[in-house]
Amino acid sequence: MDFTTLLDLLDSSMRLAMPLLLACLAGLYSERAGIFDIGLEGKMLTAAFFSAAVAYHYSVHPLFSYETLQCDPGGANCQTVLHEVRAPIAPAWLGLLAGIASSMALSAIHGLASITFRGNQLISGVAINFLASGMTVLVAQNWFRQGGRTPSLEGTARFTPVDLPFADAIGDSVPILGPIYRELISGHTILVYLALACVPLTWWIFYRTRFGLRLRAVGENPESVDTAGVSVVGLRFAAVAIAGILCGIAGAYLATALQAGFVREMTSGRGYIALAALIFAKWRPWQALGATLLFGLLQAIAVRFQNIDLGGFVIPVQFMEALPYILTVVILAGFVGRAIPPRAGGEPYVKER
Amino acid sequence: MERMPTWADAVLVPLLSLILAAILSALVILAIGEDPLAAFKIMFDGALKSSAGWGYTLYYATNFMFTGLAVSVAFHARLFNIGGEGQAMLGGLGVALACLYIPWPHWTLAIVGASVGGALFGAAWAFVPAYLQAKRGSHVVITTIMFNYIAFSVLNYVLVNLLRPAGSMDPATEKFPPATHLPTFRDMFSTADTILFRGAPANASFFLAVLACVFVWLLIWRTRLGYEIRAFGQSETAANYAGISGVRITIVAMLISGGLAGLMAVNATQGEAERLILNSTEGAGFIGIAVALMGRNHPVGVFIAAVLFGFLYQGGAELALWTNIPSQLIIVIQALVILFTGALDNMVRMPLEAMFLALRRKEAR
Amino acid sequence: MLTPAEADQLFRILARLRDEGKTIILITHKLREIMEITDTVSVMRRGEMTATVKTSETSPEELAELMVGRKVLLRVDKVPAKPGDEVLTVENLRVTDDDGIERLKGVSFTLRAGEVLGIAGVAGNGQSELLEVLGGMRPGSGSVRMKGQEIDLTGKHSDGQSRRARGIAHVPEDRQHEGLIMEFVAWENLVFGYQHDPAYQANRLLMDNAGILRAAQGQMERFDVRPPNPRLSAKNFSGGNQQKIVVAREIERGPDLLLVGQPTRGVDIGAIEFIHKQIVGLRDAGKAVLLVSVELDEIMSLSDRIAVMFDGHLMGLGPAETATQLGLGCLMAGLGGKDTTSMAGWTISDAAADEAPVEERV
Repeated sequence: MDFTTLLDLLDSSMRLAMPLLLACLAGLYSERAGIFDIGLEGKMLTAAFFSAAVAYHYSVHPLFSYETLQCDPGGANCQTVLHEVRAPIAPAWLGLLAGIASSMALSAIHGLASITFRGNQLISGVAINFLASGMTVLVAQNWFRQGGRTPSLEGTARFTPVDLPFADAIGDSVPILGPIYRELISGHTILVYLALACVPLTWWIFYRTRFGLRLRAVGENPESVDTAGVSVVGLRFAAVAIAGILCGIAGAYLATALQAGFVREMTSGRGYIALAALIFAKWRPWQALGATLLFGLLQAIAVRFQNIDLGGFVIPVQFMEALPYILTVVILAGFVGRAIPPRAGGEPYVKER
Repeated sequence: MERMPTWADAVLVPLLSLILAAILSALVILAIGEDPLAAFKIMFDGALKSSAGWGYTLYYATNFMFTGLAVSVAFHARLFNIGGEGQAMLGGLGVALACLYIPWPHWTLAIVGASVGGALFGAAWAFVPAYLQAKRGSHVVITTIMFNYIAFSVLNYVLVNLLRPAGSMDPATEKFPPATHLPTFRDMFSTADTILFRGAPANASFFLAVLACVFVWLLIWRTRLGYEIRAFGQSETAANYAGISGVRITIVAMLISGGLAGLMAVNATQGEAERLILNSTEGAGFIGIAVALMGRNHPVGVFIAAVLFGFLYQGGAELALWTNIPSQLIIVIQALVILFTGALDNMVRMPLEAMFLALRRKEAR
Repeated sequence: MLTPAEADQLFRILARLRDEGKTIILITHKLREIMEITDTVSVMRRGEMTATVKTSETSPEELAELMVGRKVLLRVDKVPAKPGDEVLTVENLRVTDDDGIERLKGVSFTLRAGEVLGIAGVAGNGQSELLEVLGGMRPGSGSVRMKGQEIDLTGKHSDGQSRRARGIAHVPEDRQHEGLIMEFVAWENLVFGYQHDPAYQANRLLMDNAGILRAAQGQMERFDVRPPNPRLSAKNFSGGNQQKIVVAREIERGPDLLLVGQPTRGVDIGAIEFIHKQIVGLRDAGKAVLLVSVELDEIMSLSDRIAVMFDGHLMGLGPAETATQLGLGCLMAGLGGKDTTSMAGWTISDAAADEAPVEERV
């Protein structure tokens, strides 16, 4: 494998890792606060659909339009003129907002079920995944009639790559580091940089702010938080809402940056893989980055090498397709070591006890 | 004192959840621009008005009984087996191998052999997640989901590369030999004058499913193993105190669960398709979750919930045929049922409990 | 949980606060504490204030009566023990918990038939682990012999089932999470741990549920479980009646050795009296009882011999008659000294520090 192929592979790992990273951080907030979230998958899927749908809509239609009556001086020869007002921001950004909103709506359901009504968090998450799986196709079919997908997104309906300063200049002049800068670091969409920025931000929030301290406490020992006069319910809802935002970005990234539009089941298990990565990372932000990059690499390898010929024996394509899932299981089973989840995870908080 | 009578807990709570799910589904249909009442009429007519409709409804119900029982057995051990779909897929492979490579003289023997094959393969597919959960603490929810994806790839590979008849482009096995074909309801219940269940896929494995319900009831409530499964599911610390091995219960419960899911293939693969196709499970493994939750993990409840979902499934197919409502509506309904009966249980229960408490107070006065 | 000395310290602080003119509300079920430091007592029963009296004008007996609603025997009446053969021999028993912390650091003692050995100590000094390893709930190392025969401390035959087969019954410290399945009905709970007993099987495959139900009915009546309804879930019984279900299950089959942890924690005074009688009854029937409790009064009134645990070691072991509150208190804090050596017949471990480290708290 030459250097360019390697860079290519790493570049696509990076792109494939970002939805995992965002979802993994979403899970981090939620689970650190004591709420299991199997529903990452469904939230991403919903966000993917709504971001693609909204981005498509506003790339074709104006934000709103109105008519005015225009007349010649003197009042004769009047005619109505249609004014179309385009959104002041690119449709892709409107799509992102819609994705976040839809994902947060599902978060609200999850919070209602698992915090307010102290229901089973796993079951709630599973329900949300099915809801997303059914509703996205149902609505897509109803709106676009293309068999449960959105039309392809073009132009400003998608997030386009951003070239970092001097990418081309350095890329050509500096050996090794130059191409790495140009291919690997530069040339991603803004959402990738946003996702990466979320890692130190999350670390800072968790380990340097009072809010973060309380979040961690509420996942370990909610009684102590309650005794300190801080609302357990409030903190947990906040965590679930943040998870909604992050899943929303992840879904929007899938449909409007990584790919050009929504297709059914396009998350294909990323939510679950993100959870596995979270366990692998032992519920810590920097490790989450490492874990998701690893899973991204696995996916990139599976996508790139569809048929590996091992001297007469060809590894079947189905094996490569299943590889990320197989390795998820392997990593969960073997390499995690002793992963201790937040102590109060999955347990609804009952004040009386 | 119990907060409310057992019958209310068993009947009223699921019923209320169902009504809530129905109302929301109606709103969804309205939002699509269709008439919910007309839609319900189409579903009812298509699924329950003719014997053929019943034939489809009961065919689906058979699938859901197996997968619902599978989920509920695991639930009793507080294991959430989301892998019913993958286990059923592999069960299909077991059924297909049993039907294709063993020369059965008669269907009565073939159904036994296919059941063993399906259950073994389904159980085997559940074994790895079960073992990893028991020994390494790998969360069974994530591993079973991963095994669903892997099952699809395995089946895809086996069908495309190994079992596909030469010259066929279809990822499916060849037709099973006639001696393995199960009698359909039409074969069984039609008389010379009247043909019942015309064209419907319901077949003898329906009775196998009913047997499975009885088996699970005996297992869970009458055997020592069932006692230990329930004890472990209720409290791991107490199970440890009583000397009940968590490792053993986890693995055994998951094996039984996987075996039951695998049995579904007797209905779908041997009974209906009469060959193994790629997507024979059609999401039945997931519907099992809704069926188990709605049936309160009790075989009688699972039976009723399975028939109900059979109706929804058949009705949903009719809807997709006659209206603009896509068949994904059934997934939405399924999600809502899981949400209301599983996660928002307390939301439904709290007002009911308050009501019964008020009633009791009034009586006491 | 505090040692008696630490409790006294706390009460001194409370008294000082009172003298400064503060109001203090103390909620406790320990009559000794109430008598020592309160001025007025209110008794609550079933969510109602049943009485309010001046402490100086009442007695523990009267308070107990107010709490239960009938006359209560506060002292345990028992005849002197007639110790028989050695039943349990523990040598150098060690337990390391899941976090790698050593909880039992080489404990040795023997227990004879027809005697109650009480293990005193502040909670968290290894008593729980002692009960758990003997009851088969966690692995350990060292040597434990039951009637002269070695029992497994690790591996397949070290679980609760194997222990029961060897005649060891166990009333665990935490009835809600260990001793009972709260969602199970009473009759199911009355065979919990003994579900493999041939007496409970209808045939090779099925359990004899009807038979168990019938047996449960009688058992609940004999052990005064109220209400005596075997179809009621365990969670619907009061703490005392839950404990009676556990005690009934473990005592009625006459085990050679009964392990009892905190038998009367969170149990009303009426039930305490009943449970104590049952434990003494088992001893009088010639069985061995190992009692772990953080209630010093309970240890002193039930035990024939007492051992004190501190930090995973046995600090001292001796006859109950000569034990004093003060001496036991010192041992519970890991101290030796003259208050402990003055207890006749006691062996004091070298691990017990000679002098009290001066430690001022609060």
